[in-house]
Amino acid sequence: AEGPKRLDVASTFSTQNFLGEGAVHLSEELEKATGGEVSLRVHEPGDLVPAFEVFNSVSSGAVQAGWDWIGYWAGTVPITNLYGALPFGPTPEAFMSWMWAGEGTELLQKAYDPYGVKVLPCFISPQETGGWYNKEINKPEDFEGLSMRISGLGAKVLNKLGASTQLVPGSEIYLALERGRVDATEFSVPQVDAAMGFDEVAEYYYFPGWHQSASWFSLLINQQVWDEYSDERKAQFETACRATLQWAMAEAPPEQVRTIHQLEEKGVKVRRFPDEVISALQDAWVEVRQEEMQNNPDFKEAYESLMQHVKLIDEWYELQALPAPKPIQGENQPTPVQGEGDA
Amino acid sequence: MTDARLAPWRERGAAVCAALARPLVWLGLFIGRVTSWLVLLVMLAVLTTVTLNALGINEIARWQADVLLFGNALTINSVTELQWHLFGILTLFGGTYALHHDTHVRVDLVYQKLSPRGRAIVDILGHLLMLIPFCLLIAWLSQHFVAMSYMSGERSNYGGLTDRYLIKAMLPIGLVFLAVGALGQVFNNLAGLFDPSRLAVPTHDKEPIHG
Amino acid sequence: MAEFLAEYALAIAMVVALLAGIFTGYPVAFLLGGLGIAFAFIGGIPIPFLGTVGSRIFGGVIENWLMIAIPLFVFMGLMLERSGVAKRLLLTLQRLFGRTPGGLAISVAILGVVMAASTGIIGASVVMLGLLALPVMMKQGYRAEMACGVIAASGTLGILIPPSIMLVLMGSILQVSVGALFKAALLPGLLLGLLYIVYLLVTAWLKPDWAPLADPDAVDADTTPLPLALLRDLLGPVVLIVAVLGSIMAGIATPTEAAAIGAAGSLLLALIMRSLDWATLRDAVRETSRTSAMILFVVIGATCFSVVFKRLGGDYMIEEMVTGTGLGPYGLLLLLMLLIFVLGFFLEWIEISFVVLPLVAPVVEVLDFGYGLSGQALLIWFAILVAINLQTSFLTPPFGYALFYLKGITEGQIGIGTIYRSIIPFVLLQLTGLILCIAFPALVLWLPGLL
Ligand code: NA
Ligand code: NA
Repeated sequence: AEGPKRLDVASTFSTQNFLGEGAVHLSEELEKATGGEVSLRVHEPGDLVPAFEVFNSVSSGAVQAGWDWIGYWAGTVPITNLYGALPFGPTPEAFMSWMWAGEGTELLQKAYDPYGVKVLPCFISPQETGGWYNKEINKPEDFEGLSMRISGLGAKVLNKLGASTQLVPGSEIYLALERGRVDATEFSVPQVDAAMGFDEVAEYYYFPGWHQSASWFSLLINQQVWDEYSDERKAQFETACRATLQWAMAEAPPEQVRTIHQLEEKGVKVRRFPDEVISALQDAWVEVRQEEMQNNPDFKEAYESLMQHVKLIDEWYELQALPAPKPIQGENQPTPVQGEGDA
Repeated sequence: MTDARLAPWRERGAAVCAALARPLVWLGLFIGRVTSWLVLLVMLAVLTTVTLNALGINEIARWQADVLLFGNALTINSVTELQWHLFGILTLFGGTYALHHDTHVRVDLVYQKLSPRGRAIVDILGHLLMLIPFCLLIAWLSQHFVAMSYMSGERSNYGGLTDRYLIKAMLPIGLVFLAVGALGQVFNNLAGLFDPSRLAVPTHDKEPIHG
Repeated sequence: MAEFLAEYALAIAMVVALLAGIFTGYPVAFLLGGLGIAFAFIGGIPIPFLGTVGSRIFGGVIENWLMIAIPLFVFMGLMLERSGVAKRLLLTLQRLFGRTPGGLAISVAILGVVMAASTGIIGASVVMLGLLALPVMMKQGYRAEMACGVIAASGTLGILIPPSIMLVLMGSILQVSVGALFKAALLPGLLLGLLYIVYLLVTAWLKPDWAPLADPDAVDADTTPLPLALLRDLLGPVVLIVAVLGSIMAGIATPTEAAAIGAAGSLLLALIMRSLDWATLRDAVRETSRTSAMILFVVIGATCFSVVFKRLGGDYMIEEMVTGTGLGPYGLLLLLMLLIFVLGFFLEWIEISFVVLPLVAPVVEVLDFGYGLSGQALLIWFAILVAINLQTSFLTPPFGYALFYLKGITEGQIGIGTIYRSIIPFVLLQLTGLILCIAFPALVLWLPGLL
């Protein structure tokens, strides 16, 4: 039998924002690849099941498919922390290389197999930001007693520096930050953060996003449903998936910078963590990573595979490194483009 | 209709049904009264979170052995998650408690004009056709949801509570408990159909209601 | 038309069955759940799909942090009532309004506005106001319709006046600033409060027997000078409201957490008033448990009903009804408002927000009403109009959650028919407010500076 022509997809993000838009784009690509034979019906978060129950529901077959940020399932499949939010991880380009030309997708699929879930990593968001702060961070000690809304491995790193990491539901972050119930929060990329209105309630926007250098999003399909498709169809899914990934990688970075410029115009102070702070975060990450690798052999395997792969890529770019072109005499330095998109 | 004129078979039927209903209803009321106190614990858990946050404390205690539900540390996020664990239990068992007190919302435009007998019939049919199938089917289908949580060792991703399957298991348990309570009400109403004099008696002891 | 009916026969049948079932008087919560299951079978929906219901109950109720506030605010309301503080405050507030006809009802409306700024949760506000004011109003001889109406309507202001969970959710659905939504909602919220008060004044003047003035001796034997009495009786509740609102404002607590502070505060107040004993506490926690479960089981049942309704094409049915027309900007806006109003009879605000808003947002964003508004400003204006509309849906039968909550706390002393009748004038006032905000967008957009 041929699999469903219209796959019901429970999204963990609203299709009104960039993260959920990925699923809509994937559906368009899938229609193109299959000549209109197969498409996705993307359901808004909570429409079928609550966001945090998507993995479980795809596994049980209650819903056919899901669109997720991979890191959501770390409570169930700890290895997903690596794909969702790996502190001091590789760039999106290097990460993508590991996913498609290295072991990345294979290892993730292996972790999902016991749950009967097929995974297609189809979307990557660029580096998230270091987060919104209402307190300046000048030295590692400034994290002492800071209360921040952050999850996953990044939270464990901050705990080592004495921060109190908190669980605040997405819809309450704005108010919690405005009123000082938390001093800081991370959420997503600038495009999405700006839409949440955090610029109105936080003073500083910190970079780099050390806790999450690239984060993956994927299409989850119930294994039985997936197996109903012919090999040709499966290949078409992969094609659409890669096209979506490419779209995301091309589209996202310039849009983030445009958004940051707009935020600066509104009075947000864009800051970089001082080197001393980054170094302290790195030391803490070594500790957390050690614990994680001890407790979790799957994580160790995937982390080592990823790092080996990244080393190859780094070496290549190091060999090929070039300085930026010199300006022609009298020509102004190119200024960043502004205006266009209205996030 | 008085007891004296009641046919013996009706009397026997009413007695049997009432005997079947009594332990089921008693259990629902008993558990409901006990779990009611959880509201104070929820309040305490929230106040603890607020205090810890104000003081900037993240970790309260850490130990070596793995303790059920708490893992090996008590953090601000353990307490935060404890809030909704307790709240979940309060809600699920409160549902049965409210059933026996007949607190669940009825649109009683017609209902209040029905005879006690008519009301008993509405409730019997409703429980058998609506409530009990709902509870049992959803509880049955929740198996995968609980089993998966147990097998994967699902836990908080915020360094909070471990053993998520415990609270997830409360969902089917709570629903089956409600179905059992509904069965108790069915027997109770049946007893009333056999012997109308029983229809006037509420299943719960009189607890003072507010004015 | 025949085609439409045929295509959506099951979705329509589901609504009809629900209406019919509701009128048998069987509990709504259980009916919603049972009909969901029944129609899943009738519609041939694969049984594993119903596995979503368990997940929805877990994610939407049990694990839902925001819901924790419900039992806490209920408990706060009960303790306030039992400590006698609330009764004193209402009596003194009534003295403050002196010989104004309808003074007690006006006090309730004002209390509702103040409470809206602290709780933001409909169930809790209505229950608390009901517990506080209903016994007092009934004792003073208010017409039940008058008393229930003002309590239900004032209690629902909480969803509109910030902080509001609904506005936060809309902000994320529509991708507009939540801060702007909060500012935008303030004037419309206060406007509705004002409309209620004007209505109460006029009604009490026209029909004195609906809102009788209390017999001066019966009201208050208290001879303390009014300013002193006010100071004394306001102290407790004001400290409590300041504790709830203040802890949010000062950044000590989120709105959910503030509920716990309020609950603890009410406990403390009862202790100070020497009205706290074991039996009072025991009865309060037991009643809290039953009342919260009553509210939350309606949500649990609705979760099953709505997922099956959508699976049977209910959401497409709605979509088709919107897009099938060829109306201009105002025509479309009014049609959407009418649609949401009608949906509000049956569905919960969360369902409406999630189903309808994403469908219509792209359409609304490009409408030209001739004010030269940006897409963002348009969406914010639209969101507030929807918010007022959804606030009304809490009041419209058969599924007016505010009415259910109110019904719940009256424990059978007031029939649902009376409650339905009580709400008609307030629904009309809501619609008046809605129309004013449509006619004068400045009411919405002036505060956030979007004009
Ligand atoms: Na509010
Ligand atoms: Na309604």
